Amino acid sequence: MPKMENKKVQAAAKKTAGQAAVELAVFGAILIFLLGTIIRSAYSNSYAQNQNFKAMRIAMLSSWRGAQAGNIARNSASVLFVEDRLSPDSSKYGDLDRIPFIAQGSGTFSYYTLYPLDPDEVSSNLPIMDVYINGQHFPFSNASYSLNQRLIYPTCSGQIQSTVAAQAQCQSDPTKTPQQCQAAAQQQCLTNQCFRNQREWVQQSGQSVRESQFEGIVPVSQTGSSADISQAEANNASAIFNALESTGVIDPSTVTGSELQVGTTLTQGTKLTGGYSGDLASPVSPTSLSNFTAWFNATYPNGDLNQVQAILSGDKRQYKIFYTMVPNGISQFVTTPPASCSGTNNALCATVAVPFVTCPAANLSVDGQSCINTNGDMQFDLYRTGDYVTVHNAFPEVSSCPSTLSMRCNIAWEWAATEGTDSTSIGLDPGNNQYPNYDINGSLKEVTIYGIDTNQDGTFVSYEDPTGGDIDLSWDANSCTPKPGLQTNAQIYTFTSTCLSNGSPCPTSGICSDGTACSPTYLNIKEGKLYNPETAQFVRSANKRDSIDLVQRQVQLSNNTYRFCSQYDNSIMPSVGATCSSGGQTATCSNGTFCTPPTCPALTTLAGKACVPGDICPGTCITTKNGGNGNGGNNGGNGNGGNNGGNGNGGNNGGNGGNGWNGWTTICNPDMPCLNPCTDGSICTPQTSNCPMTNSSGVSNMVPNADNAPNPVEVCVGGSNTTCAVSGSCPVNGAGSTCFTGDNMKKTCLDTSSSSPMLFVRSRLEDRRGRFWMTDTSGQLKVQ
Amino acid sequence: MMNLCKNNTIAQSTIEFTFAMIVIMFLVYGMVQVFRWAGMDLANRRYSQDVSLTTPPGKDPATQLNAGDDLFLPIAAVYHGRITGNTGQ
Repeated sequence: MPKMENKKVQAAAKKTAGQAAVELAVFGAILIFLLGTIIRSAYSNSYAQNQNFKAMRIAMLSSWRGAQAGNIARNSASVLFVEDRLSPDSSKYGDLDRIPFIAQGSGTFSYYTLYPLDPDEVSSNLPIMDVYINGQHFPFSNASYSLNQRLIYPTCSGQIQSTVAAQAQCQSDPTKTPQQCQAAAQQQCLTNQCFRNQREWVQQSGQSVRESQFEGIVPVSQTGSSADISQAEANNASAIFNALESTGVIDPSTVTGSELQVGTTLTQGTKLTGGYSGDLASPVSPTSLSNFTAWFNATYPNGDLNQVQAILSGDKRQYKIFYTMVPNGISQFVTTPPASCSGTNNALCATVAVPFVTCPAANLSVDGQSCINTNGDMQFDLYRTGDYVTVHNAFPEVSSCPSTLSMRCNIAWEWAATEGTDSTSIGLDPGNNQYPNYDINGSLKEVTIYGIDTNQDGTFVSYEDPTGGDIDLSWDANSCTPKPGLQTNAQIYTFTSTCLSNGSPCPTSGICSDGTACSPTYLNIKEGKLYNPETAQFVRSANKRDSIDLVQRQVQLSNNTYRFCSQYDNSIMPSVGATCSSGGQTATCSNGTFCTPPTCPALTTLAGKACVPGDICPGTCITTKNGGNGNGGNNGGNGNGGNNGGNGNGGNNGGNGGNGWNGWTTICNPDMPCLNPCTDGSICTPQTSNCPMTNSSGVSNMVPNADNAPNPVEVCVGGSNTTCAVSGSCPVNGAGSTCFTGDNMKKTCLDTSSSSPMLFVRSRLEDRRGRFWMTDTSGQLKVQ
Repeated sequence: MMNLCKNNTIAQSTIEFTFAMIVIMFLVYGMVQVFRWAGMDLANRRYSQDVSLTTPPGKDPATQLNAGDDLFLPIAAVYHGRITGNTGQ
């Protein structure tokens, strides 16, 4: 027995020999694997943290640099990094995986935080956000500035307003693609916006310019006691009325049966009232209201143009209602409308009358054509659908707040509105830096108004539009554009070298079929055998590569601002040699210039003229800022008020610079912002339109940069005659070219075929790394 | 006697335990270092940045922000050459 037991013990001892070492090896291997995973993860986290910090520092730096340059475009700078970095890996083929790092930072240098922009400074100080995609810098604007934009009564013919979600309706149709449904939804959104805009033009009975008012001044000869007119005279009168209709002066819907029917040709024998004189020649209809005066004078030299202008200048026929949001809790928030409305932030007045979709019977206006705001329903029509019956039920009237019975007291905000006709009515006061925000076009989005002028040509507004930039940061469900910004889809391709002549792969010989040289890409891996104790061979490994990873990312833009591509696009801009209008005058475009009016009024006409900052006089007023007292920063910041413009010195640690603009001196400036070359002693009329930017050869000028930085967009396609934006020898791509054809598919490309362009960012990441490792074999056996 | 010595398991566990503990000690030491580095690296970077931003440098903010004049990141974003076929621009 003892012998047997001794054998068992020995056998057991043999089985457990080295058990601890084996267990340790297994455990250690697992532990080392975990440590490796931790190290890899920590490496990524460290890099991400570093990039986050760097994004913030760059944002702070760009904000500071902007302040140093006197530009507030990056007052609140925002920087976004997108990088596709290789991930540390120990795989056989080396690092192949790319991990996207996305970091965002923002910073504000407070020196210019409260800087009051002058109207002539807005266009050069529009906010910009910086996006870096694999090192390429895209400075996207976040707003646009429209100078003297004429408000136009919209025509929405051929469309119907719908409250049904077009996209959902489309998706029920299996024959429609998602793209088609998205396009249908956007089109329906634009249609609804158009009808909303149209409804908010006021055409008040009795105050509107009626077509009948023009009957008395039509210079037709009176033949016979019954005031019959000849066919020629009837044609002439028709031409006038047609002109007034085509230019929006007369709305056909306002013409009643007792008046001349605008848009129709009068026939001989039509009776007109009033006295007529003059002998008429065959007229040529004006093509726009700006041509009307010249046409009228040429056609009717004996006609009294003053009467026409008097009617047009006093035009209360129609004007646009400007809407603004009023939050609940402030004095301007009211549940019942005031008797009259003027000035900023006033609620819709009780007597304002607008066309409607449905209207409570009690609110119908006298003529039955519009709905008046007697009970304040329009203030709570949040989507401004014109369905005031539904609104009235959802927001019952209430005499006073607080009240738990009516949503009127519990809603977060309401609409307020005023007539958009002049500075007083909208509360615009540049002298006191009062630039109101209004929705002026039915988009449900407010713009900042810097100037408004109403004359016989209509109402002209200068405004900053936060929805008009490259990226619309105010995008929401009410926007009629695709959701802007970096899209979630991204593709990575490993680029291989090809023969340029025929696109075939580069042969290993490096010589293409046409004899041209090429260099094939390669991933070269050489490995020896693992250590073999019998032959004493050692591990050797060589890994070498020469390739390009092409990473494609898509950025949806909200608008084509022409900051990355040429402005030359015949679809929207007048051609060279075409006429353009500016300041009520017509001129012929010349190469590479702004539209130049034919005459410049003499400077002497401005002598002694008082003007208000931001107004047109008829050139431009300039406002100089008087000095004030700055506010010191929190940590050593000192503000110094200057005599002519405040200067503030920011503190070292976020100190607030002084803002010394507390007063204004207004003069008529003969130089600003004239864009056309005027001679000394003269002044130009502010411009409203541009001629295409072309050189003397008629070739489109390349936009040399975007925001004073190298333009990262290499090719533009989609527009008629849209050309590459990069200065140099970029190819011209016609309408048939896309971002996926020919040489374009590997370049950063802007597709402008849609009003909301798509930017394809193609990052070409070079990977030429390699490694070679082999143990020292000197004195060893031959390594095979 | 030779057989006894050859198959002797006396102190085997002690030897293996000692060996294992030494290795484990290195592993634990390495693990502690990794954990320490993984955490301290993030903390040190944040601390360094906060100190940099809150300490008046008395000189160019560009230096204080340590962002340099080149806002572009050191990444070969756009390659022009024989591989892609476009050598211009």
